[in-house]
Amino acid sequence: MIAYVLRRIVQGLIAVIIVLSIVFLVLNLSGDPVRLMLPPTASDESVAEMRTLMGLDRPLPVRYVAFLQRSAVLDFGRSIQTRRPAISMVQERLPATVQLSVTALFVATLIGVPLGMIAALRRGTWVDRVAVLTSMVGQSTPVFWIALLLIFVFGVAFPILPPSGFGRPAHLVLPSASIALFLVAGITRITRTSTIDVLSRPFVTVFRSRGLSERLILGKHVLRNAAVPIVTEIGLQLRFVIGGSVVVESIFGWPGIGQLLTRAAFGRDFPVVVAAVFVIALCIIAVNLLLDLLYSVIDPRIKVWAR
Amino acid sequence: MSDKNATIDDTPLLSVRDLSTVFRTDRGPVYAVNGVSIDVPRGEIVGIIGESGSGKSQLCLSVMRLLAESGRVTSGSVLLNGRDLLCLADREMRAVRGEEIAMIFQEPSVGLDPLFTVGQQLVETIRRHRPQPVRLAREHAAQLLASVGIARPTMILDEYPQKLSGGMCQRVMIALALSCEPQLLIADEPTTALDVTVQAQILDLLLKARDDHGSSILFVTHDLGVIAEICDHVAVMYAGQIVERSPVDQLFDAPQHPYTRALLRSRPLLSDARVHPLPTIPGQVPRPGEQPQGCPFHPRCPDAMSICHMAPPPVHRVAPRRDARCWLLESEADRAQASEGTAYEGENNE
Repeated sequence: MIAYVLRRIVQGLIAVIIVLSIVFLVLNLSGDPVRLMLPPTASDESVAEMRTLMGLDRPLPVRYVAFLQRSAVLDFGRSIQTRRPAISMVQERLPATVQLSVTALFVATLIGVPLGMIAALRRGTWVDRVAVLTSMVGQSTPVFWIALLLIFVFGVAFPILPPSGFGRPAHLVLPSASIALFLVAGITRITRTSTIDVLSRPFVTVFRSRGLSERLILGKHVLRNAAVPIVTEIGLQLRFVIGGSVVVESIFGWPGIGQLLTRAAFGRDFPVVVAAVFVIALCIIAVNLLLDLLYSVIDPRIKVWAR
Repeated sequence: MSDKNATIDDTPLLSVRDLSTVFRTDRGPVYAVNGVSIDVPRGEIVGIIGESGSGKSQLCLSVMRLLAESGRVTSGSVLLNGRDLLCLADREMRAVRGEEIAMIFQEPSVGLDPLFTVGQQLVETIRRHRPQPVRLAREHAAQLLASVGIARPTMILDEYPQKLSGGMCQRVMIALALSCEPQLLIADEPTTALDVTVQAQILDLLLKARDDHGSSILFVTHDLGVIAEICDHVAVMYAGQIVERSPVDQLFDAPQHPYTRALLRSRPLLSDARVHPLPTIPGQVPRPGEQPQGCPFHPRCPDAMSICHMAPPPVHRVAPRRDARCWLLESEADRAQASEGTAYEGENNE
């Protein structure tokens, strides 16, 4: 198992290098940061001087290698806008994003899983139809629209929650609800399908024949047997949580990595963009590894390290 | 076996009366069990034999009240010690399951949760009915496994079900079923999915359960050999109905119903199996919902008469605890009388 984890970490690092390379290329193709930093009236000499100063006059491959070397020690340079080390700017923002994502995922799981199970148990009844319809609507509604709707309803029409800001628990409600509502849809759908599948397995009838309570059968055996697809779904949705948080953080003024990334991208602040993408990629890879290990905890037949 | 005659006078442990079970389908209601009555006396093994689709399993599930969602018992009663199980609240019924009636199933390997060890599942069931510390329940579980002939029970307790063979799984299932020493054991084709050598061992276990605990067993199978081996009494089921009931030796010696005779003929005998091809019963069990009018067996019956197309045969008592549903057993006069009556009855049946 340790060998497996090590192999996965190496694979993850390769993935990070690829991500960094793509970011490096795209940023170098998308505009000249020197022109953006200097006033439009700056002379060609001062532009050239600035370029030399920043090392941008060297050929692309040389800069690429140097870039990777510095990335290896988490040195992504200083922010062009604030002149502070890019990685520490991202680090400061990390807790806020983690707080938002984890809350959203947690709430979505807490609502989606029971809802999906109830829909499966009441298959064909109005409860089921409402759940299926809601999850369809939820999945086809863009996060930004949900966010604006929530702001309008709870921040403007019935001003009971702060429409933006950070610090108090109340500030967390609307942004995490925006992401969670989207996630609930997918989790409900997959839980329903998975539960229906497990309920049709013979052992459920066998357990009932032994007089075990429905709560025990459903809460312990059915749920655990249905859990692997649900965990997979949550892992897949992680990307949307990150992607969604970029949008949601901007809308709600949430001081997380997403907001930082958006601003840095608009400002051609290369070092900050690279550092942010690096941290996000690292998070996704780490969580995916954890989820894969979680499979074997849920289902002893799955030995991911034996593949 | 010796005290069999003494128990006959007692009220039976299980008494199923006129039980009908209907399934909702897209093509309308379908009768899987159609007016079945059967008794299981104390300490006896009663067999139910029939082809696939004859309603044997649905009968068992009806007794256990474990029918699929689309199924419903529409009439009849299921008396266990004189108490109608169909009238119990869900909660009371759960207390009966496992405690008074236990069931073992055809596919042992899919009857256990693959994500929990054998021990965890045994302990769970034991503690459901006999609340006790996990450690004690585990000891009890090991004893149970030993009693069903599992060597090294404590090792098996820590195994996951998928590591066990089919025969081993069925032993575990029997151990689970016997964990509360139920008065009635319902065995739904418990040996069908197993190797022949393992089959015999499992049957021995069931006989031992009867002898040790005095449990009654309702044994469902489509294997006449198994019936001959362990049952005291047997009911032949066809298309949701019981067509013949008989003590097991008399059934083999003198079958009354043409279907029973056909079943017995289609059984391989060592003496002539190599010379003659085995006779088969032409046609198939009617699909539930496509029951023919009259006797459900008449399209396949070699002895069918005109009355068989028109009216369902009544139950004919041949001897004590011995009856059959066949027009052949009725007198000429009774047939003629029924024949006249079918003109309007037929319309009602439509």
